Amino acid sequence: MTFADMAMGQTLRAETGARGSSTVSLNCDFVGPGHLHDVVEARVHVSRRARTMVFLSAELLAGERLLMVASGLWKVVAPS
Amino acid sequence: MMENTAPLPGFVPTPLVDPFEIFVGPVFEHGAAGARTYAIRVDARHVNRRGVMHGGMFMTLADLTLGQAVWDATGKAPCATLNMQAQFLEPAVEGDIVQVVPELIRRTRALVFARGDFTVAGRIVFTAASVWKLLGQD
Repeated sequence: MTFADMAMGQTLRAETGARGSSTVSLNCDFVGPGHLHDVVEARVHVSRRARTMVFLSAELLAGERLLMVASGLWKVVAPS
Repeated sequence: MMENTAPLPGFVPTPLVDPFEIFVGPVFEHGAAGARTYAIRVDARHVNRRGVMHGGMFMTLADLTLGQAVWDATGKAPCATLNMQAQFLEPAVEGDIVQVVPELIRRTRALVFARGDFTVAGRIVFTAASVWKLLGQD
């Protein structure tokens, strides 16, 4: 969940140029276990960008194996 | 690192077994099974660069404390989080004591539904609801 929150917030800032953002809500489905030494990759998608709110979704994968599906809502703190 | 492991008056440390939970702890508790209050003192490890508790730390705390409540209700049955929904209402800052009294909403043969309102000085700063699978139960 921490990694999902980080990756989604980073993507938001990279995609929108916002300098800061706050997570408003986050929904996580734990689809499968991640194991010691797995390299976990987050693929993040911006679903919609409104003026102050951004909707994001993400998949966390270890190779081709799906570990988590997440979706959430962010408030842009300092739009640039 | 910059953890604050000082005791919390009126509370005892929650016995933690997961290495990740030990890493972010200590977490404290008081009360009897089924009506426990859990608390964490926000320290320098738990915050983001704005000095407020990281969202991931809130969700970790929720998973830990709601999981403890599921364990209380099931005699420490092996279980796993299937889903967590979290809402971030207000920031918590370093030094704040974040508290929760987890509620179990419903238990079926294989699932437990849990939720909690997390407060700082009586104000709700974060809420979470999660669904738990009792492993080995269909």
